[in-house]
Amino acid sequence: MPRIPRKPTAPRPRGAVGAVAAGLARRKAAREPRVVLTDRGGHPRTLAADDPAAAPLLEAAERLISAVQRGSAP
Amino acid sequence: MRLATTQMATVTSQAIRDSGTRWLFSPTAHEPCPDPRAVTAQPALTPPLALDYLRELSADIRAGVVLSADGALLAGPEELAGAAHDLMTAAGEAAAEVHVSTAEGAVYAARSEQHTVAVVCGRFALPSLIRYDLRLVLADLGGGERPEAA
Repeated sequence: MPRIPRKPTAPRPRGAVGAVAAGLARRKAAREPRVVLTDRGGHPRTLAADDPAAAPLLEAAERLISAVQRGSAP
Repeated sequence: MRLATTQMATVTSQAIRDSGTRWLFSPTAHEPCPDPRAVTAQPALTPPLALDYLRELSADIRAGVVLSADGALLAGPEELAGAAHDLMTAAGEAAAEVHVSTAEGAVYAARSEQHTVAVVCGRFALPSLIRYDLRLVLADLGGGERPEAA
């Protein structure tokens, strides 16, 4: 099977600048909403944040987190 | 002093006899339990104890609720019950576990045939550990077999 030539990508910063940029990117990714559903067989399915099925889950989760942050829950 | 020691031993042996576990300490302890139902009739964990147990297992868990299969609150703050029920309803019948993380925190929920457990954690909780703890507690609540470690 012939190898497909790699697409050229934008040059990434290296060294200290690259490490800082990668750290910022990781922090940004960690703060993005994430929804994972696991079925009874243990198979996980990640929903995209813009998936219509994810919206009610995110809304319910935010209500739970807000209730805890308000201090109404012990 | 000797009298006190003797008295303590007597009290202990009486307590063992009253609790119905004296066969455990008898010479015939290797034989099958005479009445297994006496040991297994009650679930090992109650819903309020399940929440306390979860908090002991993980310091990342801030709060949680235990619901019955029909969504009734069994343990935990009432403010969380409605949202936890909505979360599992939105997840659909096929989903046994739900993990939603946002910038403010993370929510984990799992359900069995009889119970649903939902907990709110900090952002840095380890998903695999929290999910395992939830499965463990659900198994204990239902009196079933504990899950194997992943």
